[in-house]
Amino acid sequence: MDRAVSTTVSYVLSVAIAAMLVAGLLMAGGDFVSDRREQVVRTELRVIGQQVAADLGRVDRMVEAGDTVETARVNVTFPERVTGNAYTILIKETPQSRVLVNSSDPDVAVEVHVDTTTPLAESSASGGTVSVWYDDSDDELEVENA
Amino acid sequence: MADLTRDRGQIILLAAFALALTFVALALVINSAIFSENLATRGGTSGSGDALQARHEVEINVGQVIESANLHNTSTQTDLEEAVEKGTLNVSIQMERQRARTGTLINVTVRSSVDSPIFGSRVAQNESGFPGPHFTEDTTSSGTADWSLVDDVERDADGVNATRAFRLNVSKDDLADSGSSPFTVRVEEFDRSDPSPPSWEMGVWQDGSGSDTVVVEVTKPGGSSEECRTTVTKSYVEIHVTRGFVDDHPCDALRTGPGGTNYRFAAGVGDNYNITYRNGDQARGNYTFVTTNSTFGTTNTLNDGGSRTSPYITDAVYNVSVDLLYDTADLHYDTRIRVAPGESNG
Repeated sequence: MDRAVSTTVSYVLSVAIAAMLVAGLLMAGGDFVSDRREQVVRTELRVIGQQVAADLGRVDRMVEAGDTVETARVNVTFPERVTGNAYTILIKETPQSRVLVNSSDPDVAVEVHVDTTTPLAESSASGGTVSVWYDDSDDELEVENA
Repeated sequence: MADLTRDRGQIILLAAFALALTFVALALVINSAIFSENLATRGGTSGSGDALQARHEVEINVGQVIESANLHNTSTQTDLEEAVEKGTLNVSIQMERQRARTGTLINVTVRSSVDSPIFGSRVAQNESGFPGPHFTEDTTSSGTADWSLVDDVERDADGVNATRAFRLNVSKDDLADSGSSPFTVRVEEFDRSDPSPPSWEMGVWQDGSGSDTVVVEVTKPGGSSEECRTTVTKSYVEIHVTRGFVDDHPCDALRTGPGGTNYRFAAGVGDNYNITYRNGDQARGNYTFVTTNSTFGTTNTLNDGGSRTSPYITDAVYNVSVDLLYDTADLHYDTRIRVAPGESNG
C-alpha cells in the first residue's frame, strides 16, 4: 500500500511534466520552421534580384548596340509572392548601382550589384509581371510593373 | 481509487496534432524553396540574343543592298534611292517570313530624312583581264603617274569618315621592287595656300623582284610610319584600305590612327582632303572607293560613269539609316541603324 501518496498530486505532476516536454518540443519545432522560412525567402529574393540584374544587362546591351534606340523593353514574369509574402524590387543608383529586393515579413533584404553602361533610374516594382525598359527621354533604364 | 483508465494521453495527442501541423508548414516552405531553385535555372527572356542577331543581319543585308544599287542603278540619285528602298523592302519581307515561325515580328524600313540616304560618288577602275590597266590617269604605262582623283572631299569633322569601301586589287609582280618610289595613295589636306599640307600616305610594293612578300607602309600625319608585310602566294593581292585588310589578313598599320587610337580613314589630315596617286605606273589592276561628295573642286579628270570607261565616277549612296522594329511576346526593340558598308571601324 502507498503511504503519503495522493493520486491527484501524482496525476497533476505527470500531466505537468508531459505538458512541459511537449511545449518545449513545439517551440523548437516552430523555431525551426520559421528559421527555414527565412532562409527560403532569402534564397528566392536573391534569385529574383539576379534575374532582374540580368535583364538590366540585357536591355543595356540592346541599347548600346543601336545607333539611336527609340524603345527597348523586356517583360519578365516573377511569382507574385514568395512563401506567401509580398515583396518589392527597387533599383538604386547611389552609392553604387544595385538591385534591392525586400520583403516585410520576415524582414529580409537582398542586394545584387549591377554594372551597366546606360545609367539607371531609381524606380520600383512589386512582384508579378515586371517590365525592364529604356527611357529614351532620360537615357536611363527603369523598372515598372507591366 | 480514481478511475483513470479511459482518458489517458490527451496531452500527447494534442502535441502530436500540433507537431503534424508544424511539419505540414515545413513542407510548404521547402516546396517554395524547390520552386525558387527551379526559377533560378530558367534562362532569360527568350529573344534578346536574337534581337541583337537580327540587328547585325539587317546591317549586313542592307549593306549589300547599297553595294548592289551602287553598281547597277546609278543613273540618277532618285534611281539609287528607289533601288535601296526596294532592296530594303525585300530584306524586311524575307526576315519577317523567317522569324514569323518563331513568333517574332520584324520590320525594316529606310528612313527618309536630311541625313538618310546620304549620296556621294563612287570612283572605280574596273577592267577584266590580268594584270589589268595601270593606275595612271589614262590607264596606260606612259600616262600621268602623279594625279589627283578627287578634290575637296568634305567631312563634318576630322575624326569622321567620308570615304569607305576603298579596295585595291593589284597584280603582285607589277608592283615596284623596292620602297624607294612605289605606288602610293596620298591623301592631303585640301588647302591650296599651304605648300606642304598634312598628309596620309600608303605605299605598296613587292619586297624584291619575284618575292611573295607584299609590303604596305603607312605614313601618318606627323611623320610616324608603320608597315605590314604579308606573304601572298596568288598572283594578285587585294588590299581593303578602309577596313584594314591585306589579302584577308588584318593590317595593323591601316587600323590605328595617329595617336594609336582607332582608325578613321586619313585621320589627322583635316576637314577637307584630296585623294591622289603617286607613281601610278608602279601598279596594275583595279580599284574602287565611295566618298560623300557629289561634286568636286577643281581637277576631276575621271570619265563619266555612263560610259563605264575606266577610271570613272558615278553617283552613289554613301550611307543610309534604317529603322528596325523587333517584337516578341515579351520583348520590344525599336532602333535606328546607320549602314555604311566598308567604312573604317564600321
